[in-house]
Amino acid sequence: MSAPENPAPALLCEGVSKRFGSNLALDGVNLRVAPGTIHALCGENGAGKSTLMNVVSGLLQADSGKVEIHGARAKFSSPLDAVAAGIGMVHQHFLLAEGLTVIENVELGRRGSPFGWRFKRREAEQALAVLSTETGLAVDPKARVADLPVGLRQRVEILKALSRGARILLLDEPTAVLAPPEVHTLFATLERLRASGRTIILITHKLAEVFALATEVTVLRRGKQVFADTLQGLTPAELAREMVGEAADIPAPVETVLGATVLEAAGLTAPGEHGTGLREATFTLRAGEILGVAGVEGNGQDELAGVLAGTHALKSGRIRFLEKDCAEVSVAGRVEAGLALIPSDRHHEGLVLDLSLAENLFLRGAAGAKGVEGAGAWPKRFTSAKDLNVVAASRLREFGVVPPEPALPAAALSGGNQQKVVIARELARSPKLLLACNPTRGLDVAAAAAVHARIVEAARKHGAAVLLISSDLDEVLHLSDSIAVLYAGRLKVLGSRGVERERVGRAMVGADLEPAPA
Amino acid sequence: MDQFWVWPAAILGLILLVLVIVKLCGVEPRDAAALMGRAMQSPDFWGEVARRSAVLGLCGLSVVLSFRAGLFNIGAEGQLLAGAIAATAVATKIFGSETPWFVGMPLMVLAGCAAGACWSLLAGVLRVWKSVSEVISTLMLNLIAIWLLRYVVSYPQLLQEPGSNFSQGAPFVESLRFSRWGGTPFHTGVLLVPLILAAAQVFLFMTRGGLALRATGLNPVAARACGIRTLRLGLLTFGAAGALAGCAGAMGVMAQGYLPHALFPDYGYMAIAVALVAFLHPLAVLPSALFFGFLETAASTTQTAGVPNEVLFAIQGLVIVALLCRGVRLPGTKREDAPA
Repeated sequence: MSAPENPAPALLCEGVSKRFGSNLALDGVNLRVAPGTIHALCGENGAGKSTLMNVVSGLLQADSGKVEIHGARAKFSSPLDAVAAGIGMVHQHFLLAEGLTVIENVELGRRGSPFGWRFKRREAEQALAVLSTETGLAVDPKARVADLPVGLRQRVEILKALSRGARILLLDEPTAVLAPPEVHTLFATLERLRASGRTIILITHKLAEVFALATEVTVLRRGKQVFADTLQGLTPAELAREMVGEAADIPAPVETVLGATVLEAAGLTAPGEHGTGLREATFTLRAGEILGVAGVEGNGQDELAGVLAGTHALKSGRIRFLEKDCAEVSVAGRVEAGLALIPSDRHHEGLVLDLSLAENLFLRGAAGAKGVEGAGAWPKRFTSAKDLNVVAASRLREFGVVPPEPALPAAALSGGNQQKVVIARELARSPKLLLACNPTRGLDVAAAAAVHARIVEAARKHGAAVLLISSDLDEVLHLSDSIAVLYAGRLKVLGSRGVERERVGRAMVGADLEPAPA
Repeated sequence: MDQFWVWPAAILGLILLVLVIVKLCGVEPRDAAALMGRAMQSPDFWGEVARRSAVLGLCGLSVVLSFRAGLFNIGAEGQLLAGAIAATAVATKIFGSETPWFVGMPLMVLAGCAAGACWSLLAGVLRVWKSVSEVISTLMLNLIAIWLLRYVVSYPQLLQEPGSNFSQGAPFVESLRFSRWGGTPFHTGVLLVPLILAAAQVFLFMTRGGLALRATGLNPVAARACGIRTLRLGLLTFGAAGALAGCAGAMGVMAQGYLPHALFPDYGYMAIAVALVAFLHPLAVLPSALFFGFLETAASTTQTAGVPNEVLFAIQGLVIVALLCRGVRLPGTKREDAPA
C-alpha cells in the first residue's frame, strides 16, 4: 500500500468517529503522522483533540473508523493495549501519585515487570538511569514527586511513558503550566527525542509552539478535520484562520480612567496547602483598573484568590473592600457586596457538573444574594426547568458556548466551553470586583479573545476592579494596567503597562531576587 | 431503565425469589398465595397499605431532602417518634374533650413537626459546632428516641394512661383522632401526603432554594463560591427533614388513637430504602412508598401462614442492592470524571 520510499505512517487514523449522547465529538476524523517527526494537532476547545488522543491512547473506544500504528491495524480495548503498542501519553493534568517517589511512580502499574513480583528498587533505578542517559532527561529517582516543581513532574511523566517503550509520544498542552525557561528545556527535550527516532504528537493551541517545534500540522474544528499539511510556507495568520474560521479579533488597549479605590490589601499572609502560601502581600485596586498577577502556578496564586474570595483562611493582614473591613465576612457576604469569582479549577469550584447548564448559570441567583439583579437573577418565584432553559439559551449563545443546549449537564461540555459558562454566570451582573484566575486556560484563540474582551468591558464600561491572576504571561501583559508577579508567596508590583516581558519572566522564576536572608 | 424488558423481568424475578424463600420457610407457596389473594380483596388490607405508606412516604421524603443536600441524616426513625410523643403530650395534657378538631388536630401536627425538627437539629448543630458525623449522631438519637418513648409511657405522671397496667398512653378524645373511613384503617391524613410530595417536587426543581439545596449536595465547594450559604442551608435541611418525619409520627399516632410503647418499628430505616428506590425524586416517593407499604402489609398477612417477617427485610435488601448497581448517587460519593 505504501511506496518503498514512503514508510508507513507512525499513526494513521481514518474515519474515526465518537459520539457522547447527542454530542458528536469526532466526525470521521483523519490523521496521518509520519514517523520520526513532531506533529502538531491544533484546534479550538471542543474541536475533539483530546477525544481523538483518548481514542488513540486506549482510554476511549471509537464508534467507527480505523487506527493503524506503523502500518499494523490497532484495536485497543484499554490503555494497556496502547502502551503495549508503543504509545505513551502525557496528560495535561499529570497522573502522578504525589506521596510516592519518582522511581515508584515510574514503576507503578507496570505489567509483567522483568523484576518479578518484588519491587526490586535497585534494578529499577539502574534501568531509569540508563534511560536518563539515553534521552538526556535527568531526575533524582529518590525524590518525592510532591517536592518537585511542575517542570520536573512533567519530566517524570515523560520518563514513565518512555520506560514502557513508547515510540509514539502524545503530549496534551505540555506548556500550559511551565515557566518560559522550562518551556525552552522541554523544546530541547522533544527535539532530542525526535532525533532518536521517536514520533511526537503535540496537542496545543499555542501557535508559537507549533512553528517552533513541529514540521506538520493537523487542524480539527468542531469534530472534523479541516486542514492537514506541512508547515512549510504556512504563516501563523493562515494557521490561526484554519483553527478559528476567521481572523481572531484582539481588542486594542484603551486609555483608562480609574475610579475610587475598591480593594485595599495589606500584609496578607496565609499558609499554603500545595504551594508556598502567601507572604505579606500588599496592593490596592481601583475601579476600572486591571491588575495582572503573573507567576508560575504554586507560588501563592490559589491562596491569594482564596483569601480575597473568603474561601481560604487569612492568618494575618487586612482586607478592605469598598471601605469596609471584610476579613471576617463570609463568601456570601462578599458576593452580595459585589464580588465575582472565576475560579482556577472550574470542575471543583466553578461548576456543579451534574446540574444542567441553565441551572449552573443561575447558581448565583439561587443564592438569593441581594446584589443579584439583571441577567442571572432568578426569573420568578416558581420557575420550571423549561423557563430557565429559555432564558439560559440566549446567554449561552451570547458567550459562544458549544453546544448551546441549556438542558445538557455541565459535565457533557469540553473544558473550554465549561469555562465559558462560568464566565457567563459571573459577568451576568456588573460586579464591583472581579477575581479572574486563569480565565482562559484551555481555551482556544477565539474563545480567549472573547473572554478578554468581556473582562476589559467589565473594567472599562462597568467600572469593575479586576484582579487577573494567570500563569499565561501573554495574557497578563496584554490585558493589565498594572503588572505584578507572585513568586514564593511574595507579591511584587513591577509597574504599569509596558513592563518588559523579559523582566516579568525573570521575576516569575525568581531570577531577579537577592538570595533570601537565612 | 434502558431496555424495555428490564422492569418486567425484575418483578418476575422478585416474585419467584419470594416463592422460593417462602418454600424454604416450610410454608407451601400455594397456601401463602391463597391467603394473599383473599386478603387483597378486602378493603381493610388496602386501607392498611395506605396507612403505612403514608408514614413511609413522609419519612422517605425527609430522607430525599437530606440526601439531596449531601447530608447523611438517617434519623427519621427517631424524629418520627419525637413527633408522636409531642402530639400525644399536646393531646392528653393540654387539650381536652372540648377542643374542636380544627383547632386541636392542626396544633398536634404542628407540635409533631416542631419536635421532629428539634430532634433532627440536635444532630445538625453537633455537626456544625463539633464536626460530629451526622451518620453517628442521628443513629444514636434514634436509639434514644425509642427508649424515650418507652420511658414516657411507663409513668402516669408522664404519658401513661392513668390506672392502666399497660405501658401505653391514654386514648385520645374523639375530636383529636383521625376517624376511620368505612371502618378501614384509611384516614384523612393519608390524603395530605401526595400534596406534600408535590409541594416538595415544586420546591426542589422550580425554586431558588431547591436549586441551592441540590447544588450544595452535588458540589458544596462550588455552591459556597457562588455565595450560597451552605451552613445555614444545611441546618434548615436538618430542620425540614425532622419536621417531615415528626409530622408522619404525629399523624400516625392520631390515626392510632393512643401512644403505644413501640410505634412504626424500623419505618425510619425503611424510609431510606423508599428514598433510594425513588431515585431521590419526591414524586417517585409515592409509588415507592406504596410498594414498601404493600410489602409491609403482605408480610403481616402471611405471618399467620407461618412466613416470618424477616422475609420482608430480605426483599428490601435485594431491591436496594439491585438499584445501587444501577447507580443512585449517595451524598458524599464522587462522580467519575468525564473526558476533559
